[in-house]
Amino acid sequence: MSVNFNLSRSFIASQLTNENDDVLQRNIILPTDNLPSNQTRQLVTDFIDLNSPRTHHIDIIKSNNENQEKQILSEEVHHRLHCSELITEKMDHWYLVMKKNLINEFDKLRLQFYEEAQRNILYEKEIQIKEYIHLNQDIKNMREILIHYEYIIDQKNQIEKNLDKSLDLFQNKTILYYHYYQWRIFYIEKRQQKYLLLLAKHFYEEKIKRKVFINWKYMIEREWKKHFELICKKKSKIILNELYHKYEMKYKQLELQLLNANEEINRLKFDKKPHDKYLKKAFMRGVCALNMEAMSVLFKDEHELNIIINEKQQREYCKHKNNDNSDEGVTLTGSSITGDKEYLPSTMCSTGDGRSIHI
Amino acid sequence: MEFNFTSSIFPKSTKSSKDRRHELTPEENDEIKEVFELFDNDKDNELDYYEFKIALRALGFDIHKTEVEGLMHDYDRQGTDKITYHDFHEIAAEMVLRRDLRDEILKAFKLFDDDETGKISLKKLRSVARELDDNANEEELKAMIDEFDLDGDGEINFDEFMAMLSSD
Repeated sequence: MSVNFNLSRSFIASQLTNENDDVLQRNIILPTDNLPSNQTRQLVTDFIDLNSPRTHHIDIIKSNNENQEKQILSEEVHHRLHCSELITEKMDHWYLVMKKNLINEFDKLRLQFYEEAQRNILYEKEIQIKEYIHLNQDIKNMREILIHYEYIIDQKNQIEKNLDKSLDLFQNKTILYYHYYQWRIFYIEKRQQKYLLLLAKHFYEEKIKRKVFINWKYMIEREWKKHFELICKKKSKIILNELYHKYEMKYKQLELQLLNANEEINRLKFDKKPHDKYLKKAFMRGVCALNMEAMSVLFKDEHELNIIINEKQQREYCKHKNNDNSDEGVTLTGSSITGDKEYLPSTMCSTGDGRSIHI
Repeated sequence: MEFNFTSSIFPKSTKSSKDRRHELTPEENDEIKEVFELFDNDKDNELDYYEFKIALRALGFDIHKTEVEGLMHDYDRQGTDKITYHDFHEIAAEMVLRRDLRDEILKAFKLFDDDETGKISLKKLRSVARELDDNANEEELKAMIDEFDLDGDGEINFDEFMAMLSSD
């Protein structure tokens, strides 16, 4: 900006100087034209308005110069000089004043611009400095971050390498293990088969061993068994004989006893016979007596005759019975001979042997 | 007439072709069945190559790999690389019928005679009895040897062994 101002200033200055030159030249030229002062003033004011088409005017001035120089100079030099002196004075004054003003203006502007420029510079500088510092900080930070990142990347690389290595190792190990276990499986299967064959062989061998041994033992055992059986048989025979004899003896003994007992019985029977008779008689008498007593007690006053008759009959019957020596069993008559009255069942006619009574 | 069973010039097979059996005894049948069931690991009623080889070994036939492969190839009709029970029975029956009794007896003798002195002593017999978990007492074992010890050396050699089994 400041540069532009300088340029524009110089440009304006140069323009103004050019204009001054033009004015001077016009002053020199125009009086020769015999133009009125108004026109000159007009021309002067026109000169001030001159800005752009200077070259055009310069061309015009140059063309005018060549035509009118020689004719006018000598005639109007004096008039011209006087007018021009005034004009020049005024113009000088005006020029000076303007110049002063302009210069003042320019100075002011310049100062202004300068100050503004300085301020701007400062401001810019500050900004720049700040930016610079900021950027420096950034740079520092970024450097640090960069370092940090580099470090991290290094670490990561390291880790990657380690992982790679370990994975490689691991893979190799697993491959080895795979091969090893494959081989082991194969080997173990082979061993298993061998062992199975061995087992089968043992199985067979034990089978035939057992067969042979058992047959062998069996043969011996058979002999032994036979032997043992013979012995057992003999023994059993002996025992049987013993038992036989023992029981034979017992049997004979018992038979003997039996015979003795029978004899005894017969003897006793024979002995008893005479005794029997007396026993019978006594017994019958007793019974009759008892009967009579009983009857006399119970049927005292009645039927005495009957009783007597009955008694007689009974005595006779008893005697008759006593005379019988029949060995037959006891015949207990339970009723008397008479029909009307019932008598006690009497045991008076019991005759017989002692044996039958006892029985 | 005394046969020297251990001599090398004695004919190998003691069976003439007329005496050869054409039928399996029920024990042998059971044997084959038992072996099949024992060694059919995956219980699919078929034996693959290894199971087949092992089963044949369990019947006492030590067959080489190529022969086994050949047999499998012949009998494998479905192309599954496995042998059914029926085929196995066939193969095993044929082999069992071809079993040489003398060889078997020799094998058994060798098993009793583990230090290869050619004779079975009381000690060896006792160890075999212990192996088989047999509770035979000393008297029995002694009797076993004495009964068949014909030459009276206190031990059983192969001839006596053979005689013992033949008298069975």
